[in-house]
Amino acid sequence: MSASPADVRPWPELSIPAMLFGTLQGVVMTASFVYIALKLGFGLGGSTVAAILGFVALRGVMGRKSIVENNINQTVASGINTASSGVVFTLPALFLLSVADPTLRDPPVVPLLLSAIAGSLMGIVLIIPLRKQMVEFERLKFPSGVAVATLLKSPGEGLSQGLVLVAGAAIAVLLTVVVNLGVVAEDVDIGKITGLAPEWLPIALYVSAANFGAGLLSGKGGLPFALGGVLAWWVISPVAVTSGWVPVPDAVPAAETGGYLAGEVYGQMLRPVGIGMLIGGALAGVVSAFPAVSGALRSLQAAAKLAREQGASPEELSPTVLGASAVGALVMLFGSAIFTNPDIRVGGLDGAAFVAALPVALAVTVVGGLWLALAGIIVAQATGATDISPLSGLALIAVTLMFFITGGDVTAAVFLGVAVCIATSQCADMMQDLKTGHLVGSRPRDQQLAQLLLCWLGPLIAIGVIYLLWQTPDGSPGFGPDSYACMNKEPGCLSAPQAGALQGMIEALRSSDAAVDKYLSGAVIGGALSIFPIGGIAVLFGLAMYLPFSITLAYGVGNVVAMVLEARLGRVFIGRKLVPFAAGLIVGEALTQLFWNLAKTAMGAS
Amino acid sequence: MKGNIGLALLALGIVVSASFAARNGARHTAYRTAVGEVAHTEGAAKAEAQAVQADIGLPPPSQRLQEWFAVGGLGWLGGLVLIVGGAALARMQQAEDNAGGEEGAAGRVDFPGTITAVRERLAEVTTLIADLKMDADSTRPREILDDVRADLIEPLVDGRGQLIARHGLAGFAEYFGTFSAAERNMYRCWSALTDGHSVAAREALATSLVAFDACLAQYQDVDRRG
Repeated sequence: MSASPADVRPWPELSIPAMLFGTLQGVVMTASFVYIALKLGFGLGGSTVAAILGFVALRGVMGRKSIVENNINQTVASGINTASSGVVFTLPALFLLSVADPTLRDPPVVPLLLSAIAGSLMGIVLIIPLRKQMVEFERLKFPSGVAVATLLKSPGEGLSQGLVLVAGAAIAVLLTVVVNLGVVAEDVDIGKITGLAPEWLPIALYVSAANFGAGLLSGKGGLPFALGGVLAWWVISPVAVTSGWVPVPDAVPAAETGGYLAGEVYGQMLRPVGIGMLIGGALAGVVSAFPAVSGALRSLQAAAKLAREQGASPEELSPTVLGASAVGALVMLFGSAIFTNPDIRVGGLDGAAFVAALPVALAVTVVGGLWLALAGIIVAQATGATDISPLSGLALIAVTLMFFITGGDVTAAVFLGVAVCIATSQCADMMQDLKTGHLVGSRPRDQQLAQLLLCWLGPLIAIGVIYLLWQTPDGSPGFGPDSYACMNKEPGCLSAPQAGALQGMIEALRSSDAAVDKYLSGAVIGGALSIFPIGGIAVLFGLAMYLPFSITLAYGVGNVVAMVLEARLGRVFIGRKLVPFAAGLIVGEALTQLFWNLAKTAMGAS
Repeated sequence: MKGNIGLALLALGIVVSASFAARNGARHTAYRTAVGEVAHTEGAAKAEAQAVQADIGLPPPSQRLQEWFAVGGLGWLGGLVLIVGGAALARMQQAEDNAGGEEGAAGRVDFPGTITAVRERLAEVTTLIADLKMDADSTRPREILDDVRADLIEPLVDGRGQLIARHGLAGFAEYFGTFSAAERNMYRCWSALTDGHSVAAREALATSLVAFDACLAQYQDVDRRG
């Protein structure tokens, strides 16, 4: 007998409790993750935590049984929090630079907020039309998205699958604790330990359950990434060193030669070529996927029209909403560029100053908007294929572009860097959440609307926290190596290592050290690779050159293990055992790392 | 055979082109060496490095590009030729495989047959949940949905390359988007059943079945057009 209307309770999805609880989590996570990132040097994703807290609050405490509602809660929370990683990598660099350069002090807040919110909005509206392409046609893996979906679905999975998930998480907890305690090194360099190979020919494994889990989930599809790393480090690096392309300075002691060569090969050669390949691969990917993307856009329009005619709710946000939001984002970016102009900043906005600032502001808007779009696609593809985001490299390109367009205006360059970093983080996060949504059967429109409505909040909080932390009563720096706490090695020291890296890059830019040769030659290789009939191969190879080899190799081990298991035990085993196990590895490490960092921050250790 | 040669050429091309792309021009090499000297003798102080830069003169971007091309340009171009040649061979092989109907690892993908089989299994689920009360046990229908995903949907998704080769990206996109919507609504049915919400499950399943019918019609339309 079916349920009578009186028995039927709602099955909530885009609900007020989900939005409120997601917002609350997002706000708390953003503020705390900005602080943690300034202290420890890396950000954290919020999806896993939000999904688990959603279970506790929505399902446990409030008795709301809805997997799709928890998906909205997790989408909102991670959508807000994703701004923290975008802001913390870029903005603090401006403050650090201002210590030595007084002209950079007191950056204008309004243009900064405009730029950050424009990036957040643009990231979302840009990536939504590509959902069909990336999630449905290309079927990118998005390992963290799969892990969160596995978590959300856990109430319906059998006990054995639940146990497998818990077993994976337990192993990850153990491994993360062991690594954090220093019992096992984070990078195990077998070549160095055994003396079999020099540092420029590394045989090193990154000890991370999540990285290995992502490799397991990607399986055969991730193999080009691992092979790219092998070619880069076991072929190209030895070629460069043995051909004498990297001369060793006389001052470098013999014992340090290997490390010096490895550093030069990676930092001056492989990494910039990798960035170039990512750019070229993504550009070519956009061109070659154009028929599918335009087909997807047409089907979006047709579906929206059909839904209107039938009085039903459309499955995706309408192209009109997306278009209007994109225009709004570009207007904000333009406004930011105008108000960041040094003459307008000092003398105020009048007709003559506006006209004078117009060409550069337009160039910033057009080039910045285009780069933002391309960088978003690169990050979404890289995250989709490997769970790893080349955020810092793309931010560097953004800063470089703006640096040249604005004639060396560091403030404007960093502001656009903020926009690009937030946009790319949004792209990856939105697509990851949409992948989760696909697997649990959520309505894409509800997820998209939830993230779009709150896209302004994360940048606001993250920027606010940075400004608050920078202020001190005596006007000295609030964070960074020159802050009072760090100079005196006090527990409250926030060394801001990520921003320090960008600061170094900007200083290199100011001394004309931009690797244009590597970016351009790499981009052409990336474009050529895209002719090969394996989707995304250029992005995977580029990412492999961009990252340290230990990460790539450990990830590749995961790929090979998954392939062997599938060949021996079949696809059903993969779906029912390996996926929950790998999800457990990712979830376990994410949660352990979060609690570890919170404890470490609370105890004041650096 | 062509595919393997293509892959070998690709690998060789990447190594050659990326190696030469990674080379530094003469002045840049001298600059890096000098910076290395300073960093190792007096610590990596920025001021020292800047002093070195002032002495050596780091080339501006356009000159840096020219100097790199002088030492690495030829090898880089050679590598590119290998990549393009390898890609062309691999594409030829792919076209031949599809023209000859070679099955490949995923097996010959039978889109209409698979959709028909999916519909039959989903009809079973429809019957099982037709009278299901809220919060009633739904283990069996969820097991069937799990089996449909593992046995029918995932192999079809894995073999989608054959469909792209057969109909082109644009043709493939016409029906595969609808197929994906059908698949997503099937998962939605599973989620609703897990949450004990039989009404939402029935709605989702009905939507899924309509979408599977629609994607089959779209596939046949694309197939007819060739």
